[in-house]
Amino acid sequence: MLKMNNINKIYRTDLVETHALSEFNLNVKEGEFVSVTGPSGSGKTTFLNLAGLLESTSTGTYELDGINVVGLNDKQLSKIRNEKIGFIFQGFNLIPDLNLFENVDVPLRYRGFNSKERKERIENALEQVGLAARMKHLPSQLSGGQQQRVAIARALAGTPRFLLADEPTGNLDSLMARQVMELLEDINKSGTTIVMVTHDPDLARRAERNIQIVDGQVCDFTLYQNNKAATEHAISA
Amino acid sequence: MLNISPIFNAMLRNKSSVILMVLQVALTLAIVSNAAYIINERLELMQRNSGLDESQLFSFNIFTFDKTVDIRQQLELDEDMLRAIPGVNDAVAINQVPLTGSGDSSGYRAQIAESGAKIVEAGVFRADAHVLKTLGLTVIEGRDFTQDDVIYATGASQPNTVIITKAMADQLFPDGHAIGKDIYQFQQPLRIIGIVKHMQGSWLDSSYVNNNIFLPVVHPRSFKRILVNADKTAMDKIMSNISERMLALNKGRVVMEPIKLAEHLRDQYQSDNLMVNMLIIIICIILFITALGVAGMAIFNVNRRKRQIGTRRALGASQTNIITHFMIENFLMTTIGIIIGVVLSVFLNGYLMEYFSSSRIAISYIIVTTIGLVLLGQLAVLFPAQSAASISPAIATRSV
Ligand SMILES: Nc1ncnc2c1ncn2[C@@H]1O[C@H](COP(=O)(O)OP(=O)(O)OP(=O)(O)O)[C@@H](O)[C@H]1O
Ligand SMILES: [Mg+2]
Repeated sequence: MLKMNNINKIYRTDLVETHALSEFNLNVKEGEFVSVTGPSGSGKTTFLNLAGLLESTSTGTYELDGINVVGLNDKQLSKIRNEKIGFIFQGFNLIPDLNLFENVDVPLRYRGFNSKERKERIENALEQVGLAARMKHLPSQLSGGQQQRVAIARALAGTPRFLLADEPTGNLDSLMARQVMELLEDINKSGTTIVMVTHDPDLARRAERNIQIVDGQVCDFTLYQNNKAATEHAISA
Repeated sequence: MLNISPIFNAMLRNKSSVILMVLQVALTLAIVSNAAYIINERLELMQRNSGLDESQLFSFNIFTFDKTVDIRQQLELDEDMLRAIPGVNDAVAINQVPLTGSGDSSGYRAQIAESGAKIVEAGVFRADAHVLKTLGLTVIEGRDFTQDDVIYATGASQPNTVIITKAMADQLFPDGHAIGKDIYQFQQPLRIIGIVKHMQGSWLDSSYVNNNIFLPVVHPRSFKRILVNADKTAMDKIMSNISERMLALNKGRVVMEPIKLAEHLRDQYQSDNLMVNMLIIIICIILFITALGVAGMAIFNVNRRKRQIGTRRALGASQTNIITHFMIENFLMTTIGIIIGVVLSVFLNGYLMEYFSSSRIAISYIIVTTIGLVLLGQLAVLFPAQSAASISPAIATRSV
């Protein structure tokens, strides 16, 4: 599903060059549920942005669903984002001036579906997250957990192959976080590949596979633990 | 795929900023369309044909203070002298000069006054038989005056013959047969012997500016106006020493500065000209402010919605989709503004008609202004829309 090889991502500002990802390698198989953890600033969001085609790599190869996406133009990238990828953000990112129905409608309109198909998909998606009754409400009239469920409905409505979530529960209390997690697990069971960045070790453990990113590289979990222990040992010594 | 309905719905949920934009467009439409219409009205007024070649005519006034001068004789001497100057085509002593804003007028009827027949107002030009030639006019029907027609009168006595303009003839005799008919100011009949095609009188803003009558009568008075027709190339030279030549014939008078008719004409239209220039400036300023307003509002919206734009991009909007989004939004606001603006335009026009004697605005002015405003709005929003399109989709995950 996702194949990243020797990816480098360098952010350049006037003052510094940040190697957000270096020699990054990762394979995610179709239907997997992968959780991504790591210290703050280690490059998790950067990885997700590259994976979701929100940013381009500096060097390296990236194949998504069999397509080499390096070097595609804006229109082609937008189309892949629209058709194959669903995004869930920590801040929900619902559009405040649109009601729930219209929010879920946003990617479907870019897709070019006719109004009948859009209506069906929107209603199904909102049904799935349990908010069909509140279609005409504005995001500001919902709780955080409900907003995130709308965002999930929006990500699902286009039936993407691949769902990317950056700390989807980061702004939610534990009860709501659990509900959202259960929803994601359901979605995964129906065949959608999910990559989820999280700070919550409990949630991370619930995924099939957990990868750690440290200093812009995928880190072998045990190796990381050993290093950490060694470092701590060195400091205490 | 146009996404009008969600954009429209979102606008309705954001009324305050939309209302501002809509009002601006509406007011701009109302003011610009009416201003453009008034400009055109004034330009048409100024471009009317006077029937005269103003560039060949000049006039000056003389005031004879020497009571011993025989004015009738002196006028003849003056005219002979003037007509003999090389470059002068003809010259005549006359009671009023067209296009100058001052003169005489009277009412005439097709029957005697007591008949109660309709009065036709007209500018009255009194001079000798050289009057038409000096003005550069010819009769289109009938004949010109001869010296036999001319009377010299100190009192109110009237000549027997007159020449009138076509416009006046048509009002007196709508059936079209004016030649040979008599008209009346009082009881005495004035026989129409000739008709000239067209000449504007002294008051360019009067309703009877095209009604003018020529009477072959000379009043030897101490204050006289002299009208001279001269070759364009010789005008300035002739005008420069006209006073010396006149005084050389007789010192018992004051000869005032000669003024070209073209200059009189310019003076008459000065306020119209000023109005046109002012309105053009107002239109430019208003359009500029509107364009700034549209662009400013769009830039504000782009900045306010950075995250939303990034999110849309993440959800699959291409750069073109983002640009289109802002264009449609602008188009919708402009359209609402235009609908209100059309109503406002008509009201403003009604007000101008009532208090500033304007006329009913031609719908084409509203249409052209509307098209212009739509284009202006789209143009003004283009740059902010492009900057919106260049916002990185990554902003969706970066800013919380
Ligand atoms: N647009 C940018 N310009 C410059 N540097 C950036 C930019 N985006 C991220 N970085 C840097 O890249 C590195 C990785 O950032 P990233 O956001 O991927 O970390 P993260 O693992 O998601 O952290 P967190 O857990 O705090 O969200 C950081 O050092 C960050 O400062
Ligand atoms: Mg992050």
